[in-house]
Amino acid sequence: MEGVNVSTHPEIPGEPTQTGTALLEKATATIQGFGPVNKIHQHLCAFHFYGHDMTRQVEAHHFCGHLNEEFRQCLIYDRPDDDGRLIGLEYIVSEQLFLTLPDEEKKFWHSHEFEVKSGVLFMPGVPGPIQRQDLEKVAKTYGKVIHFWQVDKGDNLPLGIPQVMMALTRDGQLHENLAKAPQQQALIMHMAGIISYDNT
Amino acid sequence: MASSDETPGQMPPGDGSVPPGKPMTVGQHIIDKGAQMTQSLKPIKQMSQHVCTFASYSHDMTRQIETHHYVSRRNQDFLQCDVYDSDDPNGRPIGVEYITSDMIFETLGPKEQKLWHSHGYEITSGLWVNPRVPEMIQKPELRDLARSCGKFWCTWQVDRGDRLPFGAPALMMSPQGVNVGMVDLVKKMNDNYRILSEELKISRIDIAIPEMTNSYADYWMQTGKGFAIDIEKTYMHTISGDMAPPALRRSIEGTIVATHQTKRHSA
Repeated sequence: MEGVNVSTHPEIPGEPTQTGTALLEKATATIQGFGPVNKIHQHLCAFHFYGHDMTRQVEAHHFCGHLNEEFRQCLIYDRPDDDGRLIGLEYIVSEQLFLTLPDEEKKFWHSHEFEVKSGVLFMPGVPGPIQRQDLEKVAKTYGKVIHFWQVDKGDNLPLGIPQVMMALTRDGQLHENLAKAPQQQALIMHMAGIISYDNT
Repeated sequence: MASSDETPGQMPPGDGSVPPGKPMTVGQHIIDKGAQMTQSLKPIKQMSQHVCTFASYSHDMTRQIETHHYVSRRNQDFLQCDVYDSDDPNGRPIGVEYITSDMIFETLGPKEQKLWHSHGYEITSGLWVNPRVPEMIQKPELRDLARSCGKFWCTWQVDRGDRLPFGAPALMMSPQGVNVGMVDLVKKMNDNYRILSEELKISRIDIAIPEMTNSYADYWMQTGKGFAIDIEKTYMHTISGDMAPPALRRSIEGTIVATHQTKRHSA
């Protein structure tokens, strides 16, 4: 099927960074500690869609670190380069941890099995054998994704309220123009989450 | 289905660690190192500042937390931050904050502005700190940031004992003059970094806070109310009408999150 939503990279309003600011921040970057962030060691690429709207699909570049063997955190960017927008977060837990969640909470999480097995989720640049070892583990995990910035709508700032996102669970869900793996048949998934800003 | 201001369900059993889970295996460390050597991780390398400051939950301003922001600048008017509950390597990722200059903030509509908070007070009162950076070096940037506003979503309420990130994301607010009840938190931070917020306050006395007219930032200060986020069910828009048989379409549920205003509370 044709995909109508392609990730856009809208220009953030504002002036380019001034030289003085850039130099100051180069200095702070060398002086300060970046403890928790230094644990982010992996880049995984996958796709998310909005919980209330499967037709809105977003390329999601995950930068992940482990807190322990069963828990990972991922920062989600719309692009893997210097200019990437931080659009969301994902928490990834082992199946054992997932099963301890209350039933109501489980509904906000999604499995990774399909994404891994179909090749839609992958680690750019990592040699096959290493990638395979990790993806075998990821296939058995569950994720909770929240996005804060709807770049696919063309928002040039992170407007509105957070969105609970979901991931692909069957063939044919991914728009062809976004897919990097061959397509198969189609079916649809079950539940999703969205946050809409209703007025006050 | 869930609200950011409601108590979460039962915590996972275990030793109380946050998060629970087995320690990393040697195998996983090796995979990690392998990935790290072959991947460039460019967006992460853009993080150039560590800021330690404080925040409160919009739906309950009595709950105040220390936050650690790892900041990357996108341009002179916009920064994005990855937020943790500690600067320790084992710090938990608790949310994301976006920061814009007053100039950009003023272009936002009232509905959007209500979700934002100002930074002037927390900087000039010495609550916002850039650990290890001499104040003199940081000052020009602080002068700029004192004019900025932030939008901070917390996705893991560690302070209330959540061992895993439960529930709906929560909106966070910044410290303002009227709700400084964080004496113990501030002292702990001061002791940790061997600084004194009181002294920073004096050295920052010449930093101006802009007078923003018609601003809806720090909305709770005008109304005494905050926002909570709800996740509710709805129907999901699927890929194409004729892909799913009607029976399947009826069973496809989605969730919507709305906001609701909390009861009037005192800060």
